[in-house]
Amino acid sequence: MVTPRLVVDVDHADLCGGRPARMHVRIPEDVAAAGGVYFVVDIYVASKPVHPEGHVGWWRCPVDADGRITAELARTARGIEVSFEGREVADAWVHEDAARLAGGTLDIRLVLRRESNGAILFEESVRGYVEQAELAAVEARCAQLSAPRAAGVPRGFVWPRNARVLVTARELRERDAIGSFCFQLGAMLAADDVPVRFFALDFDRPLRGLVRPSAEILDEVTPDDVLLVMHSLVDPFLEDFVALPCRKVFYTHNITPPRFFQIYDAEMTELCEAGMEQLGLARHFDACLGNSELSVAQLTERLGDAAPPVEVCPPLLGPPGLVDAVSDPAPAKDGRARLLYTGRLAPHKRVEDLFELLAALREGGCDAELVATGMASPSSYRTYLEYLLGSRYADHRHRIHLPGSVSAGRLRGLYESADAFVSMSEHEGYCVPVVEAMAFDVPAFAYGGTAARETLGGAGICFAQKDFVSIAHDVAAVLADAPRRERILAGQRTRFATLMAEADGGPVWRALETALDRADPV
Amino acid sequence: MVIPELRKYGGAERYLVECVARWKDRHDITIYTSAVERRLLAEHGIRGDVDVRPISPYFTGEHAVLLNGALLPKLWEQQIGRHDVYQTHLIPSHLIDLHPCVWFPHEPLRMLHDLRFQERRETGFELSGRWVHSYPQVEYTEIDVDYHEAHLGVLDAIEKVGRPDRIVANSRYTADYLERVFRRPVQDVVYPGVNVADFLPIDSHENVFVTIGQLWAHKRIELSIEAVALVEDVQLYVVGSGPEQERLEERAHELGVDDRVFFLTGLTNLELRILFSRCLGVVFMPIREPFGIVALEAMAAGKALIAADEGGYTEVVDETCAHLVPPRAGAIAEKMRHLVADKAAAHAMGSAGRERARRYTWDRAADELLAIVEQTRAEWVAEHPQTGRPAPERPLFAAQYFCWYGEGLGSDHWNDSELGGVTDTPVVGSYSSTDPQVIAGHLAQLRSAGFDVVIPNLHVDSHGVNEKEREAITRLAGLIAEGGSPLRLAVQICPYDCSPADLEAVIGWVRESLTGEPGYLRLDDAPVLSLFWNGSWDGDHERLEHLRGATRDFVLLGAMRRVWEARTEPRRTRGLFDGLFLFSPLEVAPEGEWEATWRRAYDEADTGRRNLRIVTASPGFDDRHLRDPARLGATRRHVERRDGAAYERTLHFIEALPTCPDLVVVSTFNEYHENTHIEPSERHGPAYLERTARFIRTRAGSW
Repeated sequence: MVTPRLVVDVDHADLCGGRPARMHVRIPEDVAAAGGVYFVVDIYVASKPVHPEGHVGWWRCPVDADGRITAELARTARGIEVSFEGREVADAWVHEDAARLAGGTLDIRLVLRRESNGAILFEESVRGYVEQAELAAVEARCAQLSAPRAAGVPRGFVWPRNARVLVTARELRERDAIGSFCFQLGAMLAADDVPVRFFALDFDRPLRGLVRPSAEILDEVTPDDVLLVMHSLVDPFLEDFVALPCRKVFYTHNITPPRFFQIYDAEMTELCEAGMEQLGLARHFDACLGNSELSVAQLTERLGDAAPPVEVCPPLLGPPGLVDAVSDPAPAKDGRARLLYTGRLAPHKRVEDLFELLAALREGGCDAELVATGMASPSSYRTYLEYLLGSRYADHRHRIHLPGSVSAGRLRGLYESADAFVSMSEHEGYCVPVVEAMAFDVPAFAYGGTAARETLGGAGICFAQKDFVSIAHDVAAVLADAPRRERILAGQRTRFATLMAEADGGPVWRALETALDRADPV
Repeated sequence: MVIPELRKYGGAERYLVECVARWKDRHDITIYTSAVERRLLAEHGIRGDVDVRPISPYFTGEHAVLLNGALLPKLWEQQIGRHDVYQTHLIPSHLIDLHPCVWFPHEPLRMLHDLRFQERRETGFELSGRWVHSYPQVEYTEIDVDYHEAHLGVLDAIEKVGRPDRIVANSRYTADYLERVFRRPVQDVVYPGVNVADFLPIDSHENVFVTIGQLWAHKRIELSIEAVALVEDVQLYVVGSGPEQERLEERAHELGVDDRVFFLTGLTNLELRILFSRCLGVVFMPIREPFGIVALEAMAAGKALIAADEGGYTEVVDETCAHLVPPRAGAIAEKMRHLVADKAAAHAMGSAGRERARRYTWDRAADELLAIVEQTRAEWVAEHPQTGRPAPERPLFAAQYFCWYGEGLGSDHWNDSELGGVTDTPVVGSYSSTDPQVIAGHLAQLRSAGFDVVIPNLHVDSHGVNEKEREAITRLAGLIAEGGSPLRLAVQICPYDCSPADLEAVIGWVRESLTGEPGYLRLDDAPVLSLFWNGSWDGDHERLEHLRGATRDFVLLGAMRRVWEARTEPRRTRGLFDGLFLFSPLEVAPEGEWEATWRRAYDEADTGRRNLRIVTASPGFDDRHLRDPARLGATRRHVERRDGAAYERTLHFIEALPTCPDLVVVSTFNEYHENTHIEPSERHGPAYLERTARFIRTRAGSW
């Protein structure tokens, strides 16, 4: 089956100073020749990519058999104009207020759609910058992230002269656990003279340049390369990767069981289901890694007998990045105990259970507040949480703060001010936030039916049942009892030291060496 | 309460659970089901306070449809315990013949309907089999095409039989159907309920539609999927599982909407409600839905309803909250577009539905159904009076008395024929039962032993009544009356192959000639008549009705040759007797099971309408010398007396009873054919009568 895709030759569209921008789009010939698709340039306001209020317009272009399209974008008094070299625009729609919308950074989507029903088959995106200063800041950040930084154990073997490590993930975001690990890993490899390139299906668009679309791997890879696939959800290119003539390492970050999403986001459910099914493809890799014993178990049960070596590799190289952030002090607590949760506000994180815990604490006489940072996703889950705050937890609403995604500095400030870290998450592949809690000397309480228990390794306080009254009782006791709190923190410090000693990159080097030792790429 | 399975939230299961949750504090409830998911009960606060007992699971394999439709409910009938009232759900529980019973069918016999529906769908195709939905299987059952018509006929019959005391429908729509099937009025309609407060009233702005139902053909889910193909930018969540899922997924793929149609299963109640909160509208397109609780739930969730314009739910919705449309994809799509384009209208419909749904609470449904159940029970009790009689301070002691003997060995019933004969004779010789002196002597012996009642047997056969016995009984009554004896008389008629007229005549004679005498036994101010019952008229409704009419003014006792069970006896004797007792307790079970069998019979005393507790003692049994062909096949023809040990077993059993019986019958005083006599005889002397006298003396004073 042909995987629909396209490749664009620019990292961003430089529209600063009214300059027009050209981009060459190449749709692989096998895709183009198969027919039944058309191409669309679809432009949104980057800060509000929703229809219609943030939708600048779209322009449709037919796809010829050669699959090559050159698009030219230009800012005009009416907003943005898009043209296709040698072709007429087949159809278009432009927002009536496009001139205003096009005044800021743009999200330019390059889309392949099915002729028969308009279904999106593939989507690529680049930023369109209209301000020079913003463009410069983005370029500086990319350089910073890709700078070599020695960490962990050194490479203990000779690195082949032409080999590169191509790190690919479905998503790469600077502030999430997978993205953070990838960039840490890249810096470590670079410090040991290993060339690294990053690819992702979806990523922070300002990082384009540092991160390339996954589709480009298929054209760029050489037999000397080692492909390091970071897997956490279905990757539409995984079967293509398996067929590539290079060496390969598979790293599973665990896949969230689909059932958690099914009522909130059916598409995400299907992605999780498909991701689970994909795990079996890891048997075609030269080596496998997993971020925890739990994840390794999830993987190995799908590998069968001819499985490659599998090793646990914590998704950390040294202390969490947050430790280096400059603190942005959190608001004062006014004498209240502050419970902190960080991470996505997603269904499997069971944020509603945090509300219940806070209610139990307050109803038990403890003056406490909850700060739960992180982006709520899917939006339907956020709606549900908001409903709960307006109804069942209305009496506690003023003590529950959901600031959304916060800066690294503010998150550090929150950790520094927190009296306890709490997690009700019912699925964790590793649980970086409890490591952060240990790093900032905050007692951690976590539901133990997940890898959070493994990460805590006997430190902190785990609970197997969600008996909120009992948990609240324990939290209140730890808050009120300084010696008890200190004993817990002492345990956490010991565990943190162990984790840091384990987070030395050793499993990554071993996996790379195993892959390179293969006489021929699989 | 009986429900075939209690594993997931179907309409019937929800109904039962909601009712049990509300009734359990007022009544003792036992749920009978072949499979239970305890979570369903726990979610409604039903735990150890309600007993849940298993009944046989569904048959599988060939002809399972028929076995499940006919045999299974009869197995259940045997497995269900004794209760004051039965409330059964779904087909085939209507075939459980326990009473009083309120049957809530919920839906017509779906498989019957499917067979017909399938026929229409598949017209033009050569079929080797037909696929039908037989509740509650998770896959279609294949019916061989050659058996199709036969199945239709059998299922049609199954649907029409059954005789619950009351039928409750979940809608007028269903009630009308049931009236056509059962040809009797179905006046009770209790709509299901919904807990409005459980739902999340969120005005959704997502273009999400939800359809809920088991994925069977009759739910017509494909119409909703086809509608999605006609409307841009909407998603459809299909909640449910069933054998149609693969076909529906293929259909979504064919239509290019597989990225907008999602199939969800295994949702908890909370998850379902959250999903409701997300959607703009609920689509519901079943064919002939008996009620369709989804419609009420959509209303409670504050969601606009797009539904087929047929089925029970149309009685509870109106145009303010629902678009009732013909079952066509185009019609659904048009209403989807309307709701997408005018979300304010969608939200207004949702609000109207939510307000309307407040009328249909589970509290109301449970109260209404309970009132029907209680009323049914009350009516049954009124029609089948059972005195919840207190245990007496002392029992009456009665002796079975035989007065068919002629004078001298060789005359009637001594050794008078090849078939008859005796192996023991009275100490006083082969007496005549009509001899006043013999009768007087017997009365004296009985009275001396402490008996309160004598039960003379009066046989009626194809030659009519036994005139010798009638004469003896007449004299017996006269002597009791003349002598002012405290003994009371109660006749036991033994009908064999007699005509109804002869039998009625004999009953009439007892009424006219004997019951007016002061010495005739009366209980509850009515004369007592006993009927020897060998079971040959079991289930003979005509005979039974006749007997019921002829004995209406008597307290009628059944002297049973067999053991009875309250659950099955109504089917056999249709509530004829006021009290039952064993005629020959040593015959009814092997020796090792005597006490358990007698106790079971005693505990089932309320099988009789007056709840009379009657127990029988007997010294032994031996009719091996009789050559009557009717006796040759009997299981136990000889129960050895063992020097009184067998008699002691019966007496000890009686002594150990937890309650004082109303009547203790000694069977017999003088039946020599079967060697059950206690009368002083050549072989046994006076031992049995003396033992009886000691027993009565002891038990009469100290129960």
